[in-house]
Amino acid sequence: MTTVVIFIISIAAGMLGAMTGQGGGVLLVPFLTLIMRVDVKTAIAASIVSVIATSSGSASAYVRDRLSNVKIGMYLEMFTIVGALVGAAITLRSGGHIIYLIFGLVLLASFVALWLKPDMGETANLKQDRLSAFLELEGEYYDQATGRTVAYKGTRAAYGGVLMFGAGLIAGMLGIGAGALKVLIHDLVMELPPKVSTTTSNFIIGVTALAGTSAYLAAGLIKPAIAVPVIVGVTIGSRFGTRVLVRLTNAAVRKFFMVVLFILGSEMILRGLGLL
Amino acid sequence: MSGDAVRDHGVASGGRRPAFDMELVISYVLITGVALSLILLVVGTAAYAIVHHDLALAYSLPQDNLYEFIRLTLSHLFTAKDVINLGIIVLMLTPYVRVLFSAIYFGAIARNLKYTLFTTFVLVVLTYSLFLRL
Repeated sequence: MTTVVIFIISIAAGMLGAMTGQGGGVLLVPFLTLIMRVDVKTAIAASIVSVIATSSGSASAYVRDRLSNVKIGMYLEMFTIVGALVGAAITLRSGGHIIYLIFGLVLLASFVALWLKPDMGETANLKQDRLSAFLELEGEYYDQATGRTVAYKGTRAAYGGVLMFGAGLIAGMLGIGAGALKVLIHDLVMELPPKVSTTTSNFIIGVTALAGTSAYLAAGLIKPAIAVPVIVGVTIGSRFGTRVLVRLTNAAVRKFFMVVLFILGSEMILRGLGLL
Repeated sequence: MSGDAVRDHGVASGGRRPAFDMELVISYVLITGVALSLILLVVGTAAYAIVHHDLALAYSLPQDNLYEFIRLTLSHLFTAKDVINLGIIVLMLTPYVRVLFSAIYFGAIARNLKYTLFTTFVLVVLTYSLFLRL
């Protein structure tokens, strides 16, 4: 019975995650811990394995369509995987309350970020610092909407790398893809066009999640009873969510998601403080 | 193979395609890995439910690294449990194989020293983490 409930919850988390571009993990862990009373570290471990499946599934299409920039992805993966290992090590050594607290804060921060999110156009950056030029952080993609090929250059490779270590750390620590954070770094710091930044972030997430997964596997926290329905459910949910996304208005989904983030974030913090 | 054909692997736009199309290879690796893993997980769970008359997967994975996990899973006759474990193993190997192919591409085909070093670094850290013992 529990298996079926976890499966359904995972489909919901995957669907909502895909529809809002936030990924399934950010909802999955609160769902599992708050509703199903799963141990927080076990929930994080199950979530990070499922992140490999969802991100690799969609990255496959983005890479084929040449939207993801493989070079920028490979460069940044050097930082995210080390971050993910450090993050997983922190979680494995921390008490449950601290993890709840940090998770809650990340949820509320996502809520604020969605609230303030500036609308960015498809203008491509063509200025570059020397390190970024040396690292060949550039490319072009075909924009289906306008029918034009857009050439772009990434910049501030050094800051991007350091910040990506942080994104990897949060991903490994909380068992999430931290895609929203990676996209923010791509957009605001490295000045990549939105299409490239979201698809490249997706590309990076799979490898980052693997680094985290390996630590949770070694710690014996990947429990088939939880992880298997989660992997299958989230993957199905996110496939479905991507399809629904085209038909639903963005604003409605975003508002609903923001409400969910706020409630879950508050509950996680209360749980962390021992008040719930 | 002309140097020109392999030069624009970053995000090549239509027209010319290099002989070893890295994007296409990576795309296939990812989708095959995920699909195979899901099939194994679903089939394994179904088999487990039939044998044990219960859908709850009441067993634990060895508290060990991926290498030991693979060795243990493949060391005995296939049970429903092993099929499920294999699904998890295939999923974990998917991004790993993807990086491996990228490393081969940058090293042997594009001959881009910088990116060969970068992908090798990623590969080494991943390999280390998969052999981790806690």
